[in-house]
Order: sequence, then structure tokens, then C-alpha cells
Amino acid sequence: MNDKDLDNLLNEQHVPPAASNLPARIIDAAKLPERVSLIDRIKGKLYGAFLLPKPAYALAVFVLIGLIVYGVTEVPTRSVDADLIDAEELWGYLTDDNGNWL
Amino acid sequence: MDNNTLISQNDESLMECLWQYNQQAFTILVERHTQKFYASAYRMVLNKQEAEDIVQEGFLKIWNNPKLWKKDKGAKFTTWFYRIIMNLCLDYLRKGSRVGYVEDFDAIEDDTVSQEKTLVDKEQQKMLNSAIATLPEKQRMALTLCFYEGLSNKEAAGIVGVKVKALESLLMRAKAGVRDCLAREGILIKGEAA
Repeated sequence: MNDKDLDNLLNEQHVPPAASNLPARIIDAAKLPERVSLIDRIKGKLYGAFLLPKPAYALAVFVLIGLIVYGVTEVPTRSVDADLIDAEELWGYLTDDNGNWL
Repeated sequence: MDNNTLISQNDESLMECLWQYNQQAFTILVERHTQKFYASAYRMVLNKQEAEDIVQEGFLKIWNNPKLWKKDKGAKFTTWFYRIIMNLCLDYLRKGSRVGYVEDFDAIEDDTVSQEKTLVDKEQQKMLNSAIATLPEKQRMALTLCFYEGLSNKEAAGIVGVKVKALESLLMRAKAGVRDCLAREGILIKGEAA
């Protein structure tokens, strides 16, 4: 049996025709509501209501916002002199005029 | 997008419409490809009812999970859908009790058979199906995709999940397997008998 004969024989393989209503059957089956569990339905509603970014993107955005906020906000600072004055005032409350503990 | 516009769309664009669960796009895809994929499934499982069920399951799979289709991967819809159908066929073939089952040809005979029998008689047809049924699943896939469906070796290799060289080897072994099986059954092809 040479290759050509074999190919000819293979080409003669009979495939019975599919049921004529097969496409309609498939389309009808797709129209049936899919059975979805309660949890999946709740998840679907939640995901539909909120846009949930991927964790990596969310983290990157938060870091970026943090850096911007940090950069534009003036951080309140106290001078070293102000600290010294406060310390002297406190010392005055704790000691008498001669410097002895009250 | 109205129906007329959808009909003119290619398969890949229709798949994108399926992402929005466009029933019309699905209908067009089903009507466009059912017969073709049914024939492929039949050649794999050699059973009409199972082949119909497999095609139905394949289409419902893409209807229920249209995002399985990744546009950016650049694959043709048909190549991608062949993979789905072939996987479903493999699932069927791997159900132990059904391996190698060949549908009785008498049961599927219809009016068209009598015309086709001019070249190959009914007994020979049965033996051909039996010979194909003895092939390992990957060889059967190679034969179906390359020989019957006319896919390129590269496309078929992607579907079967092997390299092109391996696919060529599978195809060669598939044909040799059919030839040997038919020879054992005493099927003589014209030219050989002389």
C-alpha cells in the first residue's frame, strides 16, 4: 500500500452528518441561566459595584500618594531654643530660688 | 452592533463581543463552526452522539468563560477552539471503558452513505474506523488535525502540545499504524493487489 493509496482510503472515512438541530441546541443551551452559587452572586455584585485594583497597583498608588502628601505638607518643627526655654521654666517650678529641690 | 455588522466580523472580533455576552455573536460563531468541529470531534471519538455533545460542551465553555480567549496572544479562534475540542475528546477517550469503542456503522447509515460507498464498501469503512481507533490519542490528534483538517504542522503541534518534528513523527506513525492494521485485516488497496 503506497502513501497515495492510503491517503485516498483515509479520505473515504465516512463522517455521519451531525443532527440538523445541533447549532440550535447549542444556542438554546447557552440561553439557559447559568447556575451560580449565592457566594459567587454576592461576589459578582461587590466586584460590579467597586473597582478593585490589583494589590501591587494599589500599593504603588498609595506609596506615590504618600510621597506627594509628604512632599507638599509642611512638617511642624520646634527650634532648639524653644526647647531650652521650656526646660528652664520647668526647672524653675521644681527648685527654690537657691536651686534646691522643693 | 447589529446582526448584519456582526455577520461580517471575523471570528476573533466575535469572540471580543462575547466578552459582553453578546448572544448574537455567539449564535454566529456556533452556526459558522459547528459542522467543522463536529467532524473533528467525530474523527477523534468515532461516535456521533459523543461528538455532538463534545462540540456543544466546547461552545458552552466559551460562552460561560469568554475571557478564556486572550486576544493579545494572537492565536486564531479556530486554532484555539481546536485545542478546547481536542481536550474534551481526550477527556472522553481517557474514560477507560470507552477507549477504542467504534460506533456500529450500520447504526449511522443514512442516504448519503450509499453514494460514498462507490469507492469504499461498508466493511472497509468499518475496518478503517477500527484501525483509527487503535491509534494512541496523540497520533489520532495528529491525523485529525493535519490530514483531515489541513492545519499546518506548526498549528497542529501547538494544539497537540509537541514540537513540530515530534508532530511530523506522530503523523507518520499514525499513517503507518493504520496501514499495518488494515494489512492485518486483509484490506488491499488498488495497486497493491496487483
